[in-house]
Amino acid sequence: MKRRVNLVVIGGGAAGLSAAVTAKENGIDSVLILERNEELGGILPQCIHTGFGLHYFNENLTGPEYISRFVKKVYDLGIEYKLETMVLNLSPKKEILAVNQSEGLIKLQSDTAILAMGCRERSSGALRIPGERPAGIFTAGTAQRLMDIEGCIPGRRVLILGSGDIGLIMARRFVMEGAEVKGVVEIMPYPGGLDRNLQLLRDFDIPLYLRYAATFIHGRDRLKAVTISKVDGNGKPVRGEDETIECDTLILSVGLIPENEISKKAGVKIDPKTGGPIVDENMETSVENIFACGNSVHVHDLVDHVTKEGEIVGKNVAERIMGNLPKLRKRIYLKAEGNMRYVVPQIISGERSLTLYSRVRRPAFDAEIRIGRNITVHKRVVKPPELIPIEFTAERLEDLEKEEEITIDMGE
Amino acid sequence: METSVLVIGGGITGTAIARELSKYKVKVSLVEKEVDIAFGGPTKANTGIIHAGYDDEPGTLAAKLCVKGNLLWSNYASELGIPFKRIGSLVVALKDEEIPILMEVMDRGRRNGVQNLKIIDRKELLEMEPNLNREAVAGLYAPTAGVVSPYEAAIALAENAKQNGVQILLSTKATGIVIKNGEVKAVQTNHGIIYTQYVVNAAGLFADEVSSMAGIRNFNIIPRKGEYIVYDKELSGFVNHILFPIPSRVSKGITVTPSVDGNILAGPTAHDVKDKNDLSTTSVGLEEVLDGAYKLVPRLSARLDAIISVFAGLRPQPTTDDFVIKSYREPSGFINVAGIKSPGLTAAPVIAEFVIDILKVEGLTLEKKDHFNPFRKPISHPLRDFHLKKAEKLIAQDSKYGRVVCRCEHVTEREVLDAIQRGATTLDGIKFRTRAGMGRCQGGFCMPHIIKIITRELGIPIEEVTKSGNNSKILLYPAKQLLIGDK
Amino acid sequence: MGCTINAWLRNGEVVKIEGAKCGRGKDYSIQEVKSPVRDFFTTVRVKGGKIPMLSVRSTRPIPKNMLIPCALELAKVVVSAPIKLGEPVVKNILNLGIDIIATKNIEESRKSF
Repeated sequence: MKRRVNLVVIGGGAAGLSAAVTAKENGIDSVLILERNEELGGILPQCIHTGFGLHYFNENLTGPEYISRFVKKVYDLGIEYKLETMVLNLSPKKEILAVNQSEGLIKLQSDTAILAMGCRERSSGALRIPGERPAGIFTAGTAQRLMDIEGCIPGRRVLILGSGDIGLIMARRFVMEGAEVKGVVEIMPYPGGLDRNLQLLRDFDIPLYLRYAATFIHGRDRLKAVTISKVDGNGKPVRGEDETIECDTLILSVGLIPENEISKKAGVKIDPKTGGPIVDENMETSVENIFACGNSVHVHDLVDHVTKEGEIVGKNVAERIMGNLPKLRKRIYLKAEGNMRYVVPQIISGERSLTLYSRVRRPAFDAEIRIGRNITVHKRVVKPPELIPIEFTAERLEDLEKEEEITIDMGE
Repeated sequence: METSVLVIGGGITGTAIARELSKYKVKVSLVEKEVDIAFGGPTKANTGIIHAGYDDEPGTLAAKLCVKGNLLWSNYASELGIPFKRIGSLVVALKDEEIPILMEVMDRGRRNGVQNLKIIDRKELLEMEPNLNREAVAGLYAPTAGVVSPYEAAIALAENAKQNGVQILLSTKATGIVIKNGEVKAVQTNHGIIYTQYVVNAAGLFADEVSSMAGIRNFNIIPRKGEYIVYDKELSGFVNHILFPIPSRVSKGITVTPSVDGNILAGPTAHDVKDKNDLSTTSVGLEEVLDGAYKLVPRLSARLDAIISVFAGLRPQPTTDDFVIKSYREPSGFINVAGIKSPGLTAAPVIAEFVIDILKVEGLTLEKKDHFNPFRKPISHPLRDFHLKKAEKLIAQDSKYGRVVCRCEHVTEREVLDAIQRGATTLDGIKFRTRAGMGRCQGGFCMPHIIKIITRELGIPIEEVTKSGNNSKILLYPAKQLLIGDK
Repeated sequence: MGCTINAWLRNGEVVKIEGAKCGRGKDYSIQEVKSPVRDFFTTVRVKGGKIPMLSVRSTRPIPKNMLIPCALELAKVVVSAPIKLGEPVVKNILNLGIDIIATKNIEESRKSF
């Protein structure tokens, strides 16, 4: 006799909370959030920096402040949630197997499910950096948790690998805790993080090494130094352009990967370009009644977008449960090519206005993004760390050719 | 301190010998210089293959002990409560010119007494291994080869030995051997002197140095580095057997091995190094591993994204042609078990028996115990191993089986506590006993949880938690200390 | 979402800017040149709480050159649980006329030590 719910939300972070809240506000009674951490909020409780809510609330909030507003809504609406609960399996039929300490194995049947597991960080092993394997190497998010939740400082002489946002944010945290940041090392010729996060490097004269890669890790027990080398256009080290930087801590900010184990177990089709599920404009995956939102679909840059996406999904799921959201009949598959790394959603009807989100591989100015044969969108500046919203009004859609597959690329 | 037999070295060889000795009514102690079993090096960083036995030169000790040992592993593993999979191995010829070498290898195997060796044709090869290089022309199939987790084996042997009365002394390093009147009397260590009648030198990479302490200097141990690449469990099923290329003079070559835990392991390379503590991977070495792997399984070249880890191990290559397992007239009471590189893991159960025989000849009275317990109960991993009924039962008895701390391998708090109870004091110690930290996120999720559990259980401040003992502290300073100093 | 502004100065004063995407750009440039400020946020140690660190922030941006002094000041502070989001932790820090407030709730720990 399995317990039955209308909606199970896997992940209680920004995406999951806004989806659950919206679904409840739209009339769905039995909503259950399953969260693996000891508190709701996902990654936000450890993101103690500002920059959240500039768009959504028109305020400049820290991560914990931002998410507290949604956690409060969960409490106020009486939405059920389970903490320290690990989802072990989701079947295509929406059968859930989860586990926690107080209830043991939990088996549920849900009408619908929302995948909101967020993303994880790429590790040093995955980078294949040669050298020894000492203590002192952390991914930025793990260092953030250790520093700002558990309250320990990993080290005092820090090197940051990767100029993505999280690495830059951790550079600032280390400086504020009295550590010395020896530099930020970036393999590309341009930095990966948002401009406002790069400002810190200038504030504290932290060198930014562009077109450099880590080529050797030194230190038997504890990290002693990292050798970095200049690289050519193919990422291959250039002879004679090495520098060995003494440090006791290496922070890795070299890529986020959407969490997709549960998605795969549910039989959901994954887009190799994003690492997350292929979704249509309803944010429904290839498995009926399984929807997805947030970083587990694709890595966002602002939590404000994640919240909005969660709201769309919450509303869609509510409509679906009430029988008012048919599956997409017309399916146009958008294929990202060239400088367009990916596009979400990957499948649209061409009949409803919506916003597409895309990312580029390389920066460009005065970019002409082509969608199909007839539509061109002009963007003044496009950069890899920034998500590019492409508004598709009803008018625009008229120009979209009615084909099964349409390419989205950039005129070059 | 006093004992009858002192085993120096807590790797697979030392622990196997200690466990074998624990079957007898004799006082046995084992000293390991690192903070945990298997931390010394070769045992924790090798391919984990139980070899069929066609690689070794016929007539050598290695050849005899390997074939004999291979047959014992099913029983050995089941007594020790560790997984062992007899998946078989394939030596693959990629060119017609390699076929004669394949025949030589088979012949050598037959002479060593290996059973059921068979030459497989291309068609059957590709049926057995759909992802194998389609240029493969023939293969040598050895159904008796298998895979095991080498450090798990050493840990299990140490636990079983301890269960049966062996004294295990960690962080204890032999610094000298006391000999009087041509007889071993004692071993000096960093924690004082241990009086003993017999010394069994199973010190792996440092066996030549320990042997020197006894005055026996007729061999050296050259560290031979092997680099490895580990693939995500997602690729489980990509390869079904242990895949070998045609062997060279120097080594068995770069294999593609489905590990007993479900990962695909590519490696090892084989290059001698100078420093016995040099466990660094190199860009050249890793490229070599990839090239070797792609030769056997070209489809791996499209899966760089599935690589989760790289590491290097050192083999204790002796300057002799064979294992050095012997006693001496002078000093009496000293037994070398040195140069135990591949097939050391395979031969372990038999090496242990062989050493017992040597000790008997050296005058040690060995009377079998009435109450030797050969069975070591492993840590239960109900969620990790997906035994749901067992999980329900265990969680009902102990709710900590329901708190998942490692998201990749689904290891729970109870298993981490068990590991600590069984002697783990470091992050790596817990990793080797539970697999927490070995998954695709490589500790990103579990590290903070495990650190907290260690501080709580061992009652130490968070800044004293180490990765693998010594100076490998994870977190150097408590909150605010860099700003306010030592207040 | 971030733009790069070039500002032309004469006698230390901004006379022209280029590259601002929105209205904020002009004010920001002038401020940046005259008396640059930064958002300030860090953690503070907690006694008797469910977690050992409280995330805090300044109510307004503080002068750039006061970032480290404020960090040093707050390093000395230990707050006792329970703590409410928005509660002031240090008022008028270093006489800047700016408060430091808690950015999360922390419950009391029920464990006894």
